[in-house]
Amino acid sequence: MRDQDVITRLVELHDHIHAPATPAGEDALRGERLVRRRRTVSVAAAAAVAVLTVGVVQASLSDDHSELQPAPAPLSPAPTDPGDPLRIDGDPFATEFNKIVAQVPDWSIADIQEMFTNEPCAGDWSSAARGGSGGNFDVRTSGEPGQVWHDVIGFPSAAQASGAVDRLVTNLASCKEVAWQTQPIAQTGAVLASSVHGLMWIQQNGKELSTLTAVTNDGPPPLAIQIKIADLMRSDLRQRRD
Amino acid sequence: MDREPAFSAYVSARRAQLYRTACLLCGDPHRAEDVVQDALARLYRNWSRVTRADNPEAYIRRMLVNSHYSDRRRPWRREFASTSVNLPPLEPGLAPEDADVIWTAIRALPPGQRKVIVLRHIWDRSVEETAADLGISPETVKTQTRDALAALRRALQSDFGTPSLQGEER
Repeated sequence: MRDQDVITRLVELHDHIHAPATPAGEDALRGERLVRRRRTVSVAAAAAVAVLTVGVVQASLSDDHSELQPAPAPLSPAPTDPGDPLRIDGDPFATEFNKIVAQVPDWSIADIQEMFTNEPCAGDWSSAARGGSGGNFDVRTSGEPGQVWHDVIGFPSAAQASGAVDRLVTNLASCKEVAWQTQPIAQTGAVLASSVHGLMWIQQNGKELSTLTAVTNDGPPPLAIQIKIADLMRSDLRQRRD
Repeated sequence: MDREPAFSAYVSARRAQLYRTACLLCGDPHRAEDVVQDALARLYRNWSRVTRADNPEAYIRRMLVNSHYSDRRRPWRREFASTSVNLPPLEPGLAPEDADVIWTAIRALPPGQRKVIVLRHIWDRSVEETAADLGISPETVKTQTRDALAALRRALQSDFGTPSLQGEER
């Protein structure tokens, strides 16, 4: 059997799959709902900024010439009620991640579809993997709405997972087009790789390895935020094992 | 909603093709429908930007592939070859037994190889275009294509192969 025969069979199956008849209007409606949801998030974020600004201005105008009072509504901790605009239904990891990055008002993450680095600088560092799951989720930072990539990959043994981390770090360090720096994040067991194009958190827990990739031109966030993200990834890995 | 007529025309022309391809990417017709719905909703949201782009097809393809990733993260699931096979409904003209063999073979591929095979041989993308779409190197595309075709050949050999034609085409 030749490769061309295999491809012919594959195309044959593809072309015979019966696609359900779905009116285009339904897809437009779903898209319109997505647009409205995005607007709601934008309006909520703008309203939060407005409230914060008014609070600061009022504080500065009150009490004669007394010293400036702190803003009444700090960004941290982020709200957790069901109407929370940072909440992403059905994805607690994404929701928590959004709450963490909301604490850094001047740091922005771009849309990862514009520059997606799945296997940076070639080299298959995850060839020993037994399974995995990953995907993009929406992120709201100070700039335009963005996305990050988060995945978890399972290995047959912790040693193989550890070896995969080493290979990934080596691959990043070998990049010729973009210079990546990698450094451990204090007390978290994670590694943060950074370049002018973006960041990658790498976290291992036993047989499982998690990566989180963000496209940003702002460099790494403050250390406290780096740690929170690494802890979130570690906690996520532990929950998956339970 | 200025975008709606153009968007609807696009969906009418392309939705079936996107669904079929998503079936092969996901290995599950129900997930494929979710993936297509998600991709089209995102497409609608970005419609003006997409239609301004130099290569809207590439953008749409990336959205579908990325939607596939997104679907895979909800909920957590390992991508081991599953024992249950949900063969999608078929159009007339292909024997269900044959379809079942091919379906099982494509589902048994690792996700990375499945993506590469779909991009290369269903969407007819070149090695370089596939590499750009997936954010991997051309060498990785070649390796994964070779490995995927070898695995498919092994899986299909007993049902479709002719012993005298065994061997890879180079």
